[in-house]
Amino acid sequence: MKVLVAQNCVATFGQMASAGDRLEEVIVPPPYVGWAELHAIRGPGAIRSWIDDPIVAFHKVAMPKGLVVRRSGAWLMSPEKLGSTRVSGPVAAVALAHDERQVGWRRVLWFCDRDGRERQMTVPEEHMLLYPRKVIGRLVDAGPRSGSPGSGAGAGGRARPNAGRTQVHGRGPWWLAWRSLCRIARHYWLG
Amino acid sequence: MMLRQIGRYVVAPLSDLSETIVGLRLVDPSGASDAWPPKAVDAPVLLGSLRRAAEAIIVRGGLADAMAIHVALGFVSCIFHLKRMQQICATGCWRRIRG
Repeated sequence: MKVLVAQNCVATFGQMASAGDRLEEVIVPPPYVGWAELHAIRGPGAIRSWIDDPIVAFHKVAMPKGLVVRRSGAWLMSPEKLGSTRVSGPVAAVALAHDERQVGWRRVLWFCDRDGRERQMTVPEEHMLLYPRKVIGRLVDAGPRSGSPGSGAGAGGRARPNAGRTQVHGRGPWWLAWRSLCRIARHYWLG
Repeated sequence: MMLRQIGRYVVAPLSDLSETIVGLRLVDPSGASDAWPPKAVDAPVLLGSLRRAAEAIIVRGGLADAMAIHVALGFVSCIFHLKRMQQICATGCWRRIRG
């Protein structure tokens, strides 16, 4: 039997996982609303959408306000209209890592590749700050999935005309949001 | 769904995993809730049947959230409404549902 845990936000998942763990069985509604409010505002179809195309949640990983990563991709949410705009494929920064000497900090990125597999890669913090185009290049080389938004638009989302391509920019709000994607408690050793 | 309104309260049955009613949850208009008997506070409100459902959803939040999900899924899923997340472990729900 498939078992899911529905709650109103990711941060309150409790002790059932370690920091940075992928919470595959957790479903949460869009930010700013609960399940009951979502049903009242958008109807049962919206709830079905957020269950079928769930938020990709990682324990103790806080996404920036307004950005939601679902299986269908990363979405910028508009609190006023409960609408959303897809900005890329599913990608998120989920952890920070360092070496044995506690230097060489790296950011751990999670994404789905074109074969549908979940993958992780690490990117030096130096590159995140100084050479964002290198980061973009490495990410593009790794083949992140950038397919159609699918059911993600079911909650009132409106895909951009070129939403079929993963868009990670060196400038602009998406890149700024991505750089500050998360603050988490998990560090682990490389090597 | 076996929910009843009695006076200003909504009354929902609390069940164990054999779907036997072991108590009642009373929800007042402000959303505050209490259980009777008090020892049944850890029992979930069960919406739907665990035996017939292909999917079980443990809802942490208000009873209204559980009902919204149950309605949206066409009444075919089994919904457990728990007051606190710790109850998943405390009641053994998670382990017992997963088998």
